[in-house]
This record gives sequence, C-alpha cells and structure tokens, in this order.
Amino acid sequence: MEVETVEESERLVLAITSGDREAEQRLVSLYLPKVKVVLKFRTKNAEIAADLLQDVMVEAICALRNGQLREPAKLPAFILGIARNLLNNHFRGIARQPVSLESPDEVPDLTDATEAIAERQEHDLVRRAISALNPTDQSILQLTLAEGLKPGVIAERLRLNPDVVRQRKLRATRKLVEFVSRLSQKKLAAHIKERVVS
Amino acid sequence: MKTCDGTPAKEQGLQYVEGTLQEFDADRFEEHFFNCPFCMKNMRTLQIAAEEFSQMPVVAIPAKRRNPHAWPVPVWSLGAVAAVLLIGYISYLNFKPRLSQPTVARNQTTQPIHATVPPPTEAAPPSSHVTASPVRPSQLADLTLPAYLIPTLRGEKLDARFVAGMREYARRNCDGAIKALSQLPAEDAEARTAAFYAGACQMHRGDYASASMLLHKVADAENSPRQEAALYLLAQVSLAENDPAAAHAYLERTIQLQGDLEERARAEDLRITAMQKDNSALPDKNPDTK
Repeated sequence: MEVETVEESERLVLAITSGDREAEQRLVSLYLPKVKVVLKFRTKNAEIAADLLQDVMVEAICALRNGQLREPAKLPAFILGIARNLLNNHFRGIARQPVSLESPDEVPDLTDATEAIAERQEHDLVRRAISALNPTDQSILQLTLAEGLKPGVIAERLRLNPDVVRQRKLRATRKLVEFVSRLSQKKLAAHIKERVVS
Repeated sequence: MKTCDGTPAKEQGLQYVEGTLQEFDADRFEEHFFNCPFCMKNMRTLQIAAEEFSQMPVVAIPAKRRNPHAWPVPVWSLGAVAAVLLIGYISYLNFKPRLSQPTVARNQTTQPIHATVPPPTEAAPPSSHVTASPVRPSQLADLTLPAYLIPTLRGEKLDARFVAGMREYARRNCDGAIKALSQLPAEDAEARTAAFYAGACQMHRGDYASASMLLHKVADAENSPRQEAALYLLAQVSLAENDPAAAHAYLERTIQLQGDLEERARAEDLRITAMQKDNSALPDKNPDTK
C-alpha cells in the first residue's frame, strides 16, 4: 500500500487535467486497491464490488480530465465521495447512467496486474496467520467475518460465554492483523536484501 | 497520514466490518482508513481473512467439555490432576507464610499488573502468633497501579485532559490523575480508559466506593479491551473491603474471559479459598474475618 503525499496528489491531478495518460495509470494503481476494499466491505458482494469499481475509476478519471476537482489536495476524499455516491445509487436501485467519458477505449487499464500479484501474496500470508490461530479462535472469527453472526449466537453455537466470545474475537483479530503485518515486514526486508545483493 | 500506526483499524476495524459502528463513526473511520496506509493494510487483512474463511468449511465445533466422570480417564488427565494438586500444595506453602505478614500491598511500590512482585516482608512474628490470628482478606489485596503504556501514535488526537491525566498517572500522582481524568466528557473515545485508570487510582488511594463505581463502568461495558483488568481490580477492591465472596465472584468472571490474567486470577482465587479454610479452622475465640 503506497503512501501518497498531498504534493503527489496535486501533481497527479494537474497531470491528468493536462492529458497525461501515464498519470491516469498511476491514479489507477494508487486508488483501485483502496476503492476495492471500501466497495467490498459496503456491498459484501465481490461481483457487485467489481462492477462498481470500474465505474468509480472511470468516473473519477473523467471528472479529473474535465478539471472538476478544484482542490487537488483533496483527491482521496474526492474519490471516496464518488465511490459513496455510486454505492448509494446502487442501493437505491438507480440504474447506472453511462459515464461522461468520450470512449471506453480511452480508459487506462483497470486490471492492475501488480495488484493481483500482491493480493495473491496477501492471501497466502492471511492463510498462514489463520492457521496459527487456535481452533476456537478460528471458529469465532469465521462465524463473525464470514457468517456475520453476533457474539451471542456464536456463544450458543460454541457453548461459550458471550463475553468470552467478545474478548477472544478482539484478541484473535489483533493477533491476525499483527501476524500478517509481521510476516509482510519480514518478506519486504528479505526482498530488499535480495535486491541489494543482486 | 504519517501520525498513525494502524491502531484505529485494530480498535474499530472489526466493528466496521460487523456493521456495529454508528453511521457517522463508520463514515469517519472509512475516511481515515482510505487515506491511511497502515489502517488500510489492516482492513485489507480483515477483508482477505473474511474471504478465506468463507471458502473454508465451517469449523464451528462446540467446545465441548468432557464429562469428568467418564471412564476410561485419559492418562493426560491424571497428570493434570497431579499437577493441580501440586500447584495447590505449593500455593498453600506460599500462602502460609503470608499469615504472618501484616503488610498490605497498598504500601508497596507500584508495579504493573503483569509484573507485580510480592512486597518485601517484614520480620515474621513468633510462630505461635501465626497459628492464632486469622488472616484478613484485605491482606491478599493487590492494590498496585496497573502499568499504562502510552500509545505510540494514533490517528485521532487525544483529548488534552486525558493526556494530562495519564501523564500524572505515569508519575504515580493519583490525585492529579483523578482530577484531570474526571474532567473528560463521557462521550470521549478514551472515556472508558480514563475510568479504568481513575478507578485504579481510587483503589490505590483507598477510596473503594469510588474505585468500584469507576471500574464497573469498564467491567460492565461490552467489547471493552480493559474489561478483564477491570474485573481483576474489582476483585482486589472487594478483598480490600474484606469481602472474599465478592472477590471470588469477580475472579471467576476474570477467569471466564480466558485472557492474560486468567492464571493470575485462578491462583488468587485458590489463595482466597485456602485462607477461608484456614480461618474457619481457627478456634472460635478469634473474631470473624470481617
């Protein structure tokens, strides 16, 4: 996940407004993963999220080309705003209007290959982190994250106290996040070392 | 967004995923993590975990408790019984000398909850005295201040009153800490943390009623990361008030949470039981333990 500074946002917006297609590609690689996360959380449906993701990126690029963002420093909020608008329209059942882009051919590549590789690697790390959790914690997290069950229901299923479920859920989540973060840092360090050596 | 270490995602991420955050808070959190690489990474981890879990077969096997009377008893359980007896005996041996200690933990130097060392003991009185006088539950109370680790960097700015209060707490200035922490509004994100440490301070000062009230705010709250520690401190307050039954109840709740303080609470509960047995074995001429 790249860190983007205000100056970088401003440069990016100005470049897109002046017709720089490479800047558009850079915008896609910066924001596509972020928008995807929000859309997946909000829709809880990967297919709908993938559909909306394309629309958000296309609409964002169109708006930037037309110079609709007056404060380039607010680029992240601008893109999130577009995502929220499209989400609201989707939930209200409003049919999506064709975006005001001249031609879909002029849109940068929205299938980010680097992002796909990174996602596969993240899945590997998360699988390792999950297997490192104790079986009860795995069950609690599975019932919470995948089934969307509340602690009371999980407690009944697992014959545990609801308070125990709440505590273990919090602790297991932290463990999972910290485990993945530790592993990815190690991986990054190894990668840097490898590059320095070669 | 260079001032965040991913803590907001660790604290609110799960609630966001579950949809239990208020709409306003969810929007605010979303705006934060959208612009924060650390929190975004943590949120991605949660999302990928959800995807991985949804592809796994449901492993919701009830954590069944084996019938303790079932036969044949596995060999490991005999070992466990032996270990429990051994631990009980060692605890009893450790507990015995404490009969002679008039020292109350309130006077000892402050230590974090996880690293409390028994206070230096004074010279033991003659052994005849040991067997004659009942031990008071307050002698078992550990009234030391739990450690406070200042969170390195957070996405949200902390209230100045909270920061001032915790600074005083770190200096072991309980009066100053209570004064500053009590000014924090109830709706502040750190209000529960403030209640916990103010409660710990009141306990340390000996104002058990106030301590109990403040610690209950944390212990009775759902999803509070300090719930376990608050229950443990409530047990200490009950002991200090010579109420071993209440202490036992709080320790049981602490044990049930199966957290970091589980073993400690279990050992303390054993000590209370042993103390009650010992006291009941004393001749009638001794006053009750209250």
